[in-house]
Amino acid sequence: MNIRKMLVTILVASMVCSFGSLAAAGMTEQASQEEKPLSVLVYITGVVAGSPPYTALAEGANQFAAEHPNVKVKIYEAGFNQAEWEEQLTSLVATGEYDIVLGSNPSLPEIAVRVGSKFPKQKFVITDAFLEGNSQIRTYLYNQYEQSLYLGYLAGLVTVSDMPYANKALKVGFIAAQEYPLLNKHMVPGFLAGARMINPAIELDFRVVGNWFDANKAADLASSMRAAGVDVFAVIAGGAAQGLFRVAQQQGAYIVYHNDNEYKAAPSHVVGCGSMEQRKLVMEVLSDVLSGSVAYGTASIVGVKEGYLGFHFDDPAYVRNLPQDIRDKFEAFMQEVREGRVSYTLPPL
Amino acid sequence: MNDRMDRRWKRFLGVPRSALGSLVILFIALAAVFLLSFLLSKTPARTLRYFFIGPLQNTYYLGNMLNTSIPLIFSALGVSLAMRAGSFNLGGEGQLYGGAFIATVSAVAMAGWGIAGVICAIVLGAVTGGVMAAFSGYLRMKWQTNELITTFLLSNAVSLVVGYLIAGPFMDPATNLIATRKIPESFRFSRILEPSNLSSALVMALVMTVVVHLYLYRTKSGYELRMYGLNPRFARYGGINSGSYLVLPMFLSGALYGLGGAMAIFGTYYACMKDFSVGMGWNALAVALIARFRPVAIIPAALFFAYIESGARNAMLHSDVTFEIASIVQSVVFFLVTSSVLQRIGTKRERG
Repeated sequence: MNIRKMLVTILVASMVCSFGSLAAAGMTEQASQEEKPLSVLVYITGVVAGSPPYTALAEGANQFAAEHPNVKVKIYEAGFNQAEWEEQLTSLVATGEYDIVLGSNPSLPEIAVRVGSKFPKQKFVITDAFLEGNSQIRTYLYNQYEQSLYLGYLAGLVTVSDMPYANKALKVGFIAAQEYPLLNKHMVPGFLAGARMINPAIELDFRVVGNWFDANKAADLASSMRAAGVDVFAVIAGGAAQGLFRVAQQQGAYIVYHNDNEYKAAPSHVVGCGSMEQRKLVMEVLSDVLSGSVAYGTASIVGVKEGYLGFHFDDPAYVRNLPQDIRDKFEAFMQEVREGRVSYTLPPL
Repeated sequence: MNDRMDRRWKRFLGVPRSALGSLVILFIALAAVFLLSFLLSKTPARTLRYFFIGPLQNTYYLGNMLNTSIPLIFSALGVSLAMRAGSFNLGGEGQLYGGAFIATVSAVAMAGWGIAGVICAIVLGAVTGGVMAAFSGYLRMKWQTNELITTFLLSNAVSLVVGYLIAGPFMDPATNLIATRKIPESFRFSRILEPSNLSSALVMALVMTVVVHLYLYRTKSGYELRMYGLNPRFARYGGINSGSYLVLPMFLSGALYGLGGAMAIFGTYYACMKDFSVGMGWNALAVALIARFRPVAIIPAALFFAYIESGARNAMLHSDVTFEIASIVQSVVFFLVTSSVLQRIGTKRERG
């Protein structure tokens, strides 16, 4: 009996020890997983300075690294020569030093596909881009059609208003640095669709600068468009947008701005600024990378409802620059967008 | 007999002596790399290690470095050919860009032509660059315009037009890059040292160097061209048709630039991207100046330039410096190669 008791006791004790050691091992594994080093390459297709999305990308990654000592971040600026982007990315990936490449550009997935085919273990997470079906790449596309839609709606409200610089011509303008599928298929049509929700007769004057830095050329275009009857502008032109800000202040015109708070760029002329929560997305994405929960091969479209696009209502310039009735109509529209009650068809890219 | 031997010895010794100036320039440029690394980097030893050893550390970086030198070789041959005839072709960038664009769109249009399509597209690219440069030569022949100005201005205008065409009517709707459609896969040159970008265009660059050397130094036309470049008045008195040596060398010069552009497309990029050629024309000019416009010397000069660029890129990848370090070194080289004093160091000693 004693022997039996002893055997049972030993058995129970050994089971407890086993479970204990297993649990401990699991905890150790979990702990080691949490402390597993992560090396992130932030690949900037351009330069950080002067680009709000890239600044947010770099700052988001740096902030995440500051909060997680086991995360190491290298910010790499690849410059403006697109022909060199692939070679530079290949060189960086070839070092084998980076667990993940994080970037933000609609053209990056096609480069990542080619680079990834040479380095099958390399993973890429790309925001502001859309690609499905590649097991090395995870993309997040900001719903720029939606942002352009509500900024176009605001532009429409302004152009039909009796604000000081609004004229009788039903014309809004869009100045772009260059043409690319996301701009042509989402942003420009979205902007026009939004404006036409106010008045279907509104026309769009669309012009292209040809690069991201020539502010003088952008100013010439803006001046010509202003003379042709455009009183509200949208702009996606990087540093060249300074030319539009100058013309708006000198000749009198209004601007709605995508992705960032630029009310101060042309005080009393920038009447609305959209917001893009790049930093928030980057932090969440890196958190997913760290926990190993990234669904590679999938693509998500994120917008106002998901909390990654919005509008800078909180800036005093918004209240100062727009009359109460326009703000009321616009805020009501934004509420509908937030609740998903504004219906539109997202064009395929 | 002794005189003949003496001349041979002098010629033999003359090559390194005349290259002494170029070697001094290279030495100062490399000293600039050291200085800049200590000034700009927090880890200068690491920066220098990757700058100097990086381009040679594996076949990938070595292949990319060699690949960088290919358009430089073609373009520097173009500069040299014009200079040997006493003409300045400063429009290389536009000629290269224009040639690359025409070669690309031709290749896309002739997708079903097989090898004939490849040859036609490359020839069309070369002719495009040639015609652009020959036009400046023709203007000089007809109205005594300065080809230094006309090539430069025409190049700038053409670059803007090509940029418009790439971003507009010829842009590939399927890509977010500002680029034309890609040339057919069967048109692309075979790769060497994969996964690097080096292609068989390197062989063509070497062959073209030999061809240009043989043309200049082993043919009657090449002799007349050099004669005209050394002294146009003497050449005219000698019965050389001066008009043709204002246009022909410029055509050949532009054609080599255009060929360089086509090679970059068929060997590396496969599509003509907007502004891909930025800086290539000026770098080629510096390469030609270092080589003192001698075709065979262009190969080491182009390799040196490619080495600096690859070294700077490597340093940027692995340490804390920015790519500007390469631009500064290239500027230093550019500045120094224009110094007649440095260029003539070896020659002066020889004369003394």
